[in-house]
Amino acid sequence: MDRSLRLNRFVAGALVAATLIVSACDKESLQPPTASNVSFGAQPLFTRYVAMGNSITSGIQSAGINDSLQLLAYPVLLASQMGLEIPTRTVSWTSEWNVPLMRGPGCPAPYTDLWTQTRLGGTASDDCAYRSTPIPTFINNVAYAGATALEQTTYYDPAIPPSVTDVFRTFLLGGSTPFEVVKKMQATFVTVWSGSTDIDDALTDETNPGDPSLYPDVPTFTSWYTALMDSLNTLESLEGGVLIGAVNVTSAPYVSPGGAYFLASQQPPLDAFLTVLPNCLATEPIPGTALSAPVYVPFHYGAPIMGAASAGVPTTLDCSVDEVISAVEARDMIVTVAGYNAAIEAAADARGWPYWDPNVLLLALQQQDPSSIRLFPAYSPADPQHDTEPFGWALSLDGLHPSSRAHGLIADALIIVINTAYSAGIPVIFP
Amino acid sequence: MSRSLGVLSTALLLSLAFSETAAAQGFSVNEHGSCVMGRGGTGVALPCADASTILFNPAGIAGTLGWTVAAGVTPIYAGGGFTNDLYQTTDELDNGVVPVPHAYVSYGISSKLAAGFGFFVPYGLGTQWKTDFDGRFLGYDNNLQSMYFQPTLAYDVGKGVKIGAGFDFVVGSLKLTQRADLSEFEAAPGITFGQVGIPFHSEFSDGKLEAHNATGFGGNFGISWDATDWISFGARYMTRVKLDYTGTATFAAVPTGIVLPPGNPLSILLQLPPDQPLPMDAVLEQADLYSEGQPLSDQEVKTSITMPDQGVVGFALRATPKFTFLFDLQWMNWSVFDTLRAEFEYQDEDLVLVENYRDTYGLRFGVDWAATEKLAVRGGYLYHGAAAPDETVTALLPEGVRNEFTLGLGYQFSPMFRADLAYQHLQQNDRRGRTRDALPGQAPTVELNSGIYKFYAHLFGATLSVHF
Repeated sequence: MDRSLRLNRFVAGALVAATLIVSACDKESLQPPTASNVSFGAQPLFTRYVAMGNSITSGIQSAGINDSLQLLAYPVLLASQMGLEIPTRTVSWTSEWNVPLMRGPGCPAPYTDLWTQTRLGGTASDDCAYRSTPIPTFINNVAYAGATALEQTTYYDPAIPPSVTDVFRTFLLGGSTPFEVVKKMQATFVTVWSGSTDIDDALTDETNPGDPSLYPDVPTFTSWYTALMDSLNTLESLEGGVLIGAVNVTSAPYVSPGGAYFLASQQPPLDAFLTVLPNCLATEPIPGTALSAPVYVPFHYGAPIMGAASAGVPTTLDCSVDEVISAVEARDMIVTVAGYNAAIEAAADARGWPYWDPNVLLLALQQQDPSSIRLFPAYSPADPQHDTEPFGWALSLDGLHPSSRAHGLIADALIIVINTAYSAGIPVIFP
Repeated sequence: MSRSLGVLSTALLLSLAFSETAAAQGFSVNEHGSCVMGRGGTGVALPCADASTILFNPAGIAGTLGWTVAAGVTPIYAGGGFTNDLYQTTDELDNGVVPVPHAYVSYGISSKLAAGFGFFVPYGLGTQWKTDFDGRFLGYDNNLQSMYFQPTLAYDVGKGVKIGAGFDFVVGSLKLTQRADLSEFEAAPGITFGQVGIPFHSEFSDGKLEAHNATGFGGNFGISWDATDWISFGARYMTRVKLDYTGTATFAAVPTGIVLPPGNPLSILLQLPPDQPLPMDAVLEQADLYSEGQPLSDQEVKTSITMPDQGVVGFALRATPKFTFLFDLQWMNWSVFDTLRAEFEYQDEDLVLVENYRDTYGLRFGVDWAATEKLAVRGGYLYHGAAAPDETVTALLPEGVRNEFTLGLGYQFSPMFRADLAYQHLQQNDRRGRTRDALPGQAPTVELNSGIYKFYAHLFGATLSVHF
């Protein structure tokens, strides 16, 4: 074979081979995507943000919960502002930040009319549409209604009394406690809103609200909260968090001062039918402050009386009954919540985390706009807030849980706290 | 309590489907002869002297004289893992070394006519993951074998043209194991355990599907043309083979350890005392899922899987007496895997699974250097496309675009004996995939992908051949 011909064939073969290899072995195929190319949208600190908390954190509004309300809760808003992909009602299981969504109309469905107790879809208070499917691979919002500080780390303590909200422990977290899910999630950041739930039962109890036996004393709560923080301290993944104080529940419009009922009884047309006894004006000094605690009338007790008087039936409000929170009971609740918050703030200081007191926001709202959080429900149909926001625009139709708008304000307040403590630069929702 | 086998059987069948394709595409690197393997899998235009051309181009045995007997094995070590987006942790593939055998016999009946018989296992690998891997619900210990027995005839029609044809008798077997997810089972009609709060991927049962002796038939046809003394062309076409599997699905309980707290909705749903903790394992035991005729009792499963047709064209360029360059282009008709249908003994409706696989092309290049009269040194490169679309990359099929590099040695000890050795490194591009399934009846989507699969393999081939 001719030498040059051989050489030409060799070169041709080599060139074809090189061309094929280069064309197949392109830059993209040799530099495949790596895990870092699909990292989440948030800063690393917030990649596995988990929200622990209560009914507010879980998204309950108007005495109900469903996927729409859950997606309007402050943790979801906060996660979204952090840059995390949040779920939607239609794509609810594959996001970067997941919520155990309850299928509509709810479980139970929220009120659409407080005064007729009508719920979304005309459903009953014990109707439940169960969880949405497919269920998410992981869960970031581990809050549920009725989650006390003790229940953050255990389900089976004898100190946990049965409650109608117990179903949510399973619905939202299955056989796990919130802390167990946080641990499994290898959370990098947490918000913890605990304390309000511990005292909520004493506010809404229909037979003897304010009964001290219905809520833990400060040392007991402190021990539970300490156990929670001790558990969180074991998590090596955890890089930051915010501890949120308990809401001073006596300032929730679900309960109104006896004096507010007295003032209503002095106005026509109720003055002809409603009598408010002087015991409703009793107060009790709050130690260490210049303030006094009044008698509080829960909505579930006051509403029928107001309804009867409005219908022209002579009615008397006697605040000496068990169904009303006495001034002493109110004082004790206020002092107890202050004790809770002192413990929470101390825990935050010990961990080096920021503490946020929601009562500051609530007080500011009340002072800036009395229609935001009303001292007295809009009983009168003539009141422009009667139908849609009887407890104020910052409250949902149950008088206890924030409205969607208020969730935005809560998220913004937390963003400011987080930005200050962690230099995070998270954009606020309402600039 | 109402139970449905639908979810579990769907998962099993998804595993079945993907495992099959995983073995065929994910591991089919043509390592059925160490000579061909060493030169990058090229062999359609120029056969090796070890009779492996019975597979790589049946026409190649025409013109040989006497007997050629060859046997070998290719141990394959596959590695890789899955890196979860959320935790950035990696679960490693737990595969051991899998030997893939091959054997060939050819006999030159005359200068024109030759006959042969080949045995090879083009689908003979599996995947194994640790049982704490999240993808165990798709499958964690899977093995598949499709053994091809191919009698072959070839004829030299003259002017450098040879033709050959083989009849493929295929025997298949498979084993699939996976964990079942309680959250996807029904607690009551229309309500799954997940809907009352049982967390995602709560394992409660271990399912194993085994099927042996599935049989199918096909053909392998080839043609080659020595155009000149320095260039040859070749082509082959292997038909698709349908394997009908009849197997057994067996299940064993796996403790969930889940104890629902008092006041849980499941107790209410099942009308059990609501004020007591509810151990899920006791509930499941009472449900009697594993007795004869129950959803998780031993039962028969039937399915059919079609191995795709494949075609290869190529040429060999004898550039110098010592150097030969070889080029092959392979097409595989993976689009036959658009859907799969299967039937469980205790399920009313057949399962129809959407696959949406796509055809793939492989590009191969090899070089063979006759270093001495007895020693051949080989090298090669392969590039393969991916058959699985982005939404069906799973623990059973960590499949994607691959680049593969080969080295080989051949030594002729005597006119009678020769040995060939080869090494092949398979490097797959990282690919996004998933560890969870879509809901039964729904097609998977890329939104389910939750991490990155990495995959690589080291293959070592050895073939001994005797010619007399």
